[in-house]
Amino acid sequence: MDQALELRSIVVPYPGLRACDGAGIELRTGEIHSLVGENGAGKSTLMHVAAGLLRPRSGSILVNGRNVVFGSPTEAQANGIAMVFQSFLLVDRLTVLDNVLLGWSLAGRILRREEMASELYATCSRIGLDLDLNAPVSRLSAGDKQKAALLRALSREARILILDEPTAVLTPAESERLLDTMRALARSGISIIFVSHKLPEIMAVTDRITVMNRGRTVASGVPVADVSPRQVAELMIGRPLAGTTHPDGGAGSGADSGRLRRAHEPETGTAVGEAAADVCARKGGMVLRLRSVSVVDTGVRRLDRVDLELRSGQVIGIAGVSGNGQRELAEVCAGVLTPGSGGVELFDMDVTGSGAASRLALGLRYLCEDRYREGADPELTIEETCALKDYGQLTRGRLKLLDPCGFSRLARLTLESFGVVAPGIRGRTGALSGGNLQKLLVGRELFGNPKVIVAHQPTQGLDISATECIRGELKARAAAGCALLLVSSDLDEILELADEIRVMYRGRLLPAVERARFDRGAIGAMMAGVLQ
Amino acid sequence: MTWAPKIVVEPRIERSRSLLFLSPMAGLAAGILLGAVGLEILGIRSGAAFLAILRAGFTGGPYSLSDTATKACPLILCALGCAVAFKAQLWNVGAEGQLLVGAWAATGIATFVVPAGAPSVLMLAAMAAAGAVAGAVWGAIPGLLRARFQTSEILTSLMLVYVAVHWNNYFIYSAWSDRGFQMTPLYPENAWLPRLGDLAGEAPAFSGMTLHAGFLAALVAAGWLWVLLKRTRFGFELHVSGLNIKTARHAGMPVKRNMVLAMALSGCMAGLAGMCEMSGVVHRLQENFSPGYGFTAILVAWLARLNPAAIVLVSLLLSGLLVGSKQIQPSGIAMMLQGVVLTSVVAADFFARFRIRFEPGVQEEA
Repeated sequence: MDQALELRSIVVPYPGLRACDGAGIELRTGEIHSLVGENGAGKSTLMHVAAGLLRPRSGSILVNGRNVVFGSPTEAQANGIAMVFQSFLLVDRLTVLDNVLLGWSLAGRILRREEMASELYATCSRIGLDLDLNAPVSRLSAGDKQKAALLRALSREARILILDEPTAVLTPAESERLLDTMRALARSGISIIFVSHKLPEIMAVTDRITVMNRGRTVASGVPVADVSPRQVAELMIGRPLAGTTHPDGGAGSGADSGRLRRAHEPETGTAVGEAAADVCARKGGMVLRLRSVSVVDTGVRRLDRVDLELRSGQVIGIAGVSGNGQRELAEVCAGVLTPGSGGVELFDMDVTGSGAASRLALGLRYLCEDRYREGADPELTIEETCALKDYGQLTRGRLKLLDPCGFSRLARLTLESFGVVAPGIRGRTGALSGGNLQKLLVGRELFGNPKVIVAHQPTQGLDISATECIRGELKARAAAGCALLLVSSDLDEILELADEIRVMYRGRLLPAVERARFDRGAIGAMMAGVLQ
Repeated sequence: MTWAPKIVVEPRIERSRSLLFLSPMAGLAAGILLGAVGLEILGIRSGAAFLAILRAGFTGGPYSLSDTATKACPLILCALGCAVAFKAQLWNVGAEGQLLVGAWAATGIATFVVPAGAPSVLMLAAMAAAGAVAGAVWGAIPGLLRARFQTSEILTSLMLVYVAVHWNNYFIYSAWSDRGFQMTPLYPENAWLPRLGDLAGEAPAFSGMTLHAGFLAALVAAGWLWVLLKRTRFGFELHVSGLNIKTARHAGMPVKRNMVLAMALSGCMAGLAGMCEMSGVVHRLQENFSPGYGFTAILVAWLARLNPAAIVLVSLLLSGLLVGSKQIQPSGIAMMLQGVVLTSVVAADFFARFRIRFEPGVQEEA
């Protein structure tokens, strides 16, 4: 097979560390090549180099065997390389068509919309993308947004596609369809680099794997048939996994291998039984109650007469395809969104109309979905991010002035207790990798000694060890009597943590499913709206 | 091998501290140079002109310093006000209007409310309170509108400047007019802020100096504001909501209340500036007593990067330029010089924020 793209000994310095330290990848024409590694291993940096977003300090880039230097993403595009970002980078208010045409030189100075549309429909049907080009992006599901971003990349005559964690926000079914599309694209001669954390998907779709650890390539272009998922995971985290009962990613007993185990085996009955008994013992008094809560936003019913009761020590998992009202539900509980009708009670206090501060005062902590814009801001210092909710207590003296030492003490404690790797407490929050930022935010909420936690997508986009760490913390809190409302589109996560599952579908909460009756198939059907 | 170099302007990721201070200085130098060229074209010896400005504004002994500090007083207070609002990304551009209503309220108290025989401390305290409250109200209006209806505070605060101008004119021309002249009666002496010149009895060196106690108040306000922004919960909340209002709301901060408070505080400072200018310099309300202090203050706050100490320094520099350029006749030339220097300083700021890079285009090897 021909070589489509090769990156050789790429070095990219980053304040305080080397994001890429002699890393490389070799992509053959028409193959799907996985690039895996922990958060902060340097995958994104390496891919940004390939897409012309970053210039390496040293190293070389070869496209079809020719040495090239990219000064900008446009130049990478001219060489047939396109990247689809995790966040899609689409303009919400425009239609899919306009998003594709946006900034496309071929579309002409005066847009030939009709003509381009028919061409794009042809492209869609060729590769089996089912997409309405005239729909505004804001109305699309995550899966359709992914398709739109893919279409935009393909329309630019890309021969080399870089997909950065494309399945992170998709439902299992949507992910499955995306993997099919990827296979079809590869058959048509397009080469794909697939950046992902999800081992089952990687094993299912790829031809070869390159593993990165701490800025270096630790395994390069290994055929997928030659390795086990377990070996890949060990290469990623750079140490053997705990719980080594079975050699092939099997049923380890430790929490370490939980994610891998579920990839291959269903939940075992005994574990469920134990957990159920456990719940009865620790379930306590009423903590959070929603009574017939409705939220209407510009004519759309986001929440439709939702009733919910959460007791202390209980973990309720809210499952569902994202965009069915989970965000609004979490925000109503956290006091960020005021419901149009209905009531919210926290410890028998009516808090319907009062904001996030009232919830904080009563011991409710909200771990929100959008880490970079809601949970923190990239421009805040790490110290400030740590103190964002508890600054009121970091005061000193009669005048209640803020105490800078208190800020740094809290930050150091949070970083240490949760193993957050940071350049320093006065550095920008934006310099933290996704996993480290999330660990820091989890740490911040847990330090507040919460009685209730509302966690929305707590491990989205995180690698194995960060996921393990965060789920472990949440479990420990629930065992200690804290109530947890876990809103997640990752069904595996909910099956692992929840005592009770409520599925959200079109703004409604479907009846509760007890842990003893957990059944992946039935819950999947409820998520799709097939089963009530 | 092909080369297609192009010029790329990009924001600096790491802003170097030295550049933040060097760039205004470089701008100042460039402005002076450009101004000199202008003067030479007009047939004026630029060297002598700049020396005259320097002497009158800064180096001409205690009197020129006293004049410069006097003019800096309202600038400092207004710029501190702007800084509070700007910190929270609230663009209060109406400090001029808040200054005017502050001056109006102080005048009302001095002329009609507190009797001329009252102790000076009481009179001055009442005037300061009235000026501060009037400015705060004028500033809180755009703040309330923004918090409640998402109205742009840039427009409303600017429009309120014109309302304030005409409001004051009504009183100057008719209601409070001094025997039909376009001014209110002179304040009684207990409503005058003490001046350095008042100490001439004990220290003859001060005789005739116009610097008033308002300058001291401005310095205290700068220190107080630094503490407020850096060391209080309110200051931290403004800092966070200025960066990202969503983050602030999620952290449970009272975002809307702070919006109104920050705008009110901003107006309060400007209102105080109006009171100081009345009580310390003019001693009666008249038209055009402010040469646009409230607008220049926007520039000061921005150049000083909202740092209270830097605001004091920048205000002194700018007011020195204002005082000094009076030495040049006709006054149009002085205005031109001010404009050239200010434009250059602002333009130089661009280089502190952005980087210019020469980019080699796609470089191919066979």
